[in-house]
Amino acid sequence: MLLINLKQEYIYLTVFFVICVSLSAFLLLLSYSLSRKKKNDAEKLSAYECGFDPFGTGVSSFEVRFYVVGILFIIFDLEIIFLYPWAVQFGTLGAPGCFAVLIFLIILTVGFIYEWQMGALDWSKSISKKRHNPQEYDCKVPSALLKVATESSVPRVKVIGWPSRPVVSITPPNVEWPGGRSPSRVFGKFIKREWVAFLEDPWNEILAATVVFLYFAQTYLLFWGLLGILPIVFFLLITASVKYGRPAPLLGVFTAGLIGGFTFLSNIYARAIWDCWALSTHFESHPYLDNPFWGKLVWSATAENNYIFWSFSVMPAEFYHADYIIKDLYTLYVQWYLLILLSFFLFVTLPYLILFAARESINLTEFPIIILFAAFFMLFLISSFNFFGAYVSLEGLTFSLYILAGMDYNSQNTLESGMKYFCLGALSSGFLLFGVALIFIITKTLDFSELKFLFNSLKDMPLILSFALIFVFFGFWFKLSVFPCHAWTPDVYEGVLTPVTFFLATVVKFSVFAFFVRILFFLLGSQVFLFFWQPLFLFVATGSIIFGAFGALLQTGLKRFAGYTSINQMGYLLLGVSSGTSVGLQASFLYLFFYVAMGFSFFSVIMYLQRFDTGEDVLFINELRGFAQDNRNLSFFLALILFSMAGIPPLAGFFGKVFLFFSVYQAGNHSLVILGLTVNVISTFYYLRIIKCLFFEDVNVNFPVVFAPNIDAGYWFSPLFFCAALFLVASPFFLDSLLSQVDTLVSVARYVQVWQW
Amino acid sequence: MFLKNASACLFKPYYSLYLVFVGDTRFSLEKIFSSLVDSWVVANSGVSVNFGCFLIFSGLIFSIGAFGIVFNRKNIILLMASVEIMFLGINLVFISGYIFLNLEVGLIYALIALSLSAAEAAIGFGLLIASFRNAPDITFSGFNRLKG
Repeated sequence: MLLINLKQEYIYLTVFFVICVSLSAFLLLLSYSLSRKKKNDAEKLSAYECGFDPFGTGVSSFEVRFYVVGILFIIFDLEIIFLYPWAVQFGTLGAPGCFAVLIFLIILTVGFIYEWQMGALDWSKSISKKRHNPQEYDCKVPSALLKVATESSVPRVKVIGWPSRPVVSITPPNVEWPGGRSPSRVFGKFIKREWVAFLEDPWNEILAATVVFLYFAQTYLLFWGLLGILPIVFFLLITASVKYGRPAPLLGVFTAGLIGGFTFLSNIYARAIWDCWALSTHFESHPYLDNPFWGKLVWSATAENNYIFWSFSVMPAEFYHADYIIKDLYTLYVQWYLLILLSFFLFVTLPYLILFAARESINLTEFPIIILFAAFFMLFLISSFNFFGAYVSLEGLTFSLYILAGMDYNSQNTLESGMKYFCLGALSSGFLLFGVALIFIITKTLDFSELKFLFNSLKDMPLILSFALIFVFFGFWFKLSVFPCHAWTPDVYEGVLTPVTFFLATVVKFSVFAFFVRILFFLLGSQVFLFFWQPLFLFVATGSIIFGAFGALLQTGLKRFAGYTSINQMGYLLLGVSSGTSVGLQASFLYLFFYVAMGFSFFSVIMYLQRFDTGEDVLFINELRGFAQDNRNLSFFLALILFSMAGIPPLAGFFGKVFLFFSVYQAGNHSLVILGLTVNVISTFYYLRIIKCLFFEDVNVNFPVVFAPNIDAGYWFSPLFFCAALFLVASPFFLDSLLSQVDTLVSVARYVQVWQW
Repeated sequence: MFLKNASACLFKPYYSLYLVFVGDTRFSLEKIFSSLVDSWVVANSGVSVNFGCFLIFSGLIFSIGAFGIVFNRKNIILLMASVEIMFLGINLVFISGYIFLNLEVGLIYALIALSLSAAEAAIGFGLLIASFRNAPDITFSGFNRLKG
């Protein structure tokens, strides 16, 4: 029946097709058979030019700007999709709909003005910029440079750190730091010159950032948002117009706006801090605590109550935006840690960005803004309670990372790594979305609470569901850069700017892991699913431990080395997770905190190391030779970090690994403990190699390495490094409190179910 | 028969759109979409499209895109096209959820996923243009600087 219908309806089409194909084939054959065969000569193949000799090839590619305008057109055209439903339901939606669409259009217009100002629409002007070549200094040895520095009258060469270690500060030529352009055309005339002068000094900039941050924090604490938006708009207008396209002052105050913008969650932090404090001081019982700022805190803890019930009683989960967003204690903790990490990250990377932008004469104004986008999406990823919401926030995070990866648009290495990241990232996000779509089709919902209810009622694992879940896992494994999806990591880490490597290695990993834990332990926490994903994760974890360790063995580049190291460490993290017990998760979280701390310390040192001759960043391990002779304290600190990464006993990394292997042993995977320890012994080799380079080799006289010559590093970094070193050394002393916090985190993450094997 | 069905397919939804425009409250967006789908299914009742067919078709499109990304060693613009094809296949899954399971939210998911994939393509083209300015080449052959 079906076949007959098909025949009836498609017979004409088939006849049409047959006629088309046969006619074209006939014509081709005809021309082939009738035409005179002749060998191709140069005259025939050359491009036809009238009156003069031909030049160039006949085939010419389109101007790139056509594509730019085409892309912009498509983007703005696509937004009409969002206007269409509103237009259809215009009467129903009323004033709120109008308001929402108005906000949407305002955002679009701002984007349009931005692209216009950036020169994307200028047809005549060439957009490309040539890279500023850093000047080659002819003095090869420090003494010669010292002589030049002391005798020359050039003001940009300055000796600091006399007499213990004479370090010469070189400001690159052609750049007035922080380099400048003319003020904006839009708001420039309203800006007073003194304000600009004030913001030009980076110290004032940081001060302003701090003040603005505190102000916003206070504002948001007292009045919920509405009044606090006005100063943000005000400051953004001023800063955007102070110096258009000027990184230095903008960076700081945009950052202030960004951190201030985060404080719309400040009531949440206040509660989280309050809860931390309450949990750490074991109160037997407490009355109701009503606070207009911090909300209502209720505890009903008795002696036999453990943290689970306590945290439940302290703060029940709240849902927002049609249950797409959850606010529970786990979310609050992780967001709190994430914001601390972000503020540290910005604090450490700001001076580097200023210096880099001045040195390479490149515009990095967007950097903190895109970090803002990434932070926004990370916060929403952590608090999302729906697979599609999680997909959208993860995708937004990934978009920000693509842009960050291609930020240094003059460097071919950066663009290559950005392109590689984009290709594989698009593949992985496609896999993730396909898995999500399959789950949507199978279960008819994507909401986590409904899914949990459904999954708990399952007696057996359906094949199609496991298929979909593997697709979802692929997306997350890619973001965590573990074994089957790790191939992008070394290339991307090597090519991108060092702050971006830093961001990818620490903050992004933290947020994605935190959300992944929610999926694994909250959503897939039942026994059926545990039996499904546990062997999978054991495989992935062991694979990435082995691949990371053996890949890092022979690396010469520092950032590439960091990439392989992070693959290895993520493997250890998943090893703890895959034990499936709360102890394992606890150990993983502890290890994650230590990993992030070590990453922060490592990158904040590595980022500021520069070669003495060219002023370029240090990119290779053997460039660090004999650094201890120059800067003993810093190399001691670096050695401390590396020992901690290797897991040498009195340091933080050791305790992380001990708890991890303990949990794996407890879960019954004895062979994996042996394997992990063996690989750890192997991985000690490459950490020790760097330490040998630092301490036991001679200085490379051609290009000794200096630490942050252009900024006065003593003020900034010694307190920070001191704190970090203290953390690495003294972690056993406050391990108890850390563990209690981690314990709370774990118990909230899994809610109620805790099984032991 | 063909013409009659085609007319039902073509004009029925527009009539209801007109009713919405006039302000008839009995007609909403959902009803329009469902009538569109119903009329399509009725018009093609000889060739019945079931859920499984639809899913297999979208899975095929998805795998075409995915294999295009994996096996494409030459051209980056082809890679972008593969990404788009992959996301369109996924969108078909969401839309099939609307058509066959009456999950209205599937349509919204499809819209959002569509716009996200467009944004992704724009970022990819931006990266491509930036790299084209440095080295005028849209093949992968120049991407061999980072390895080891």
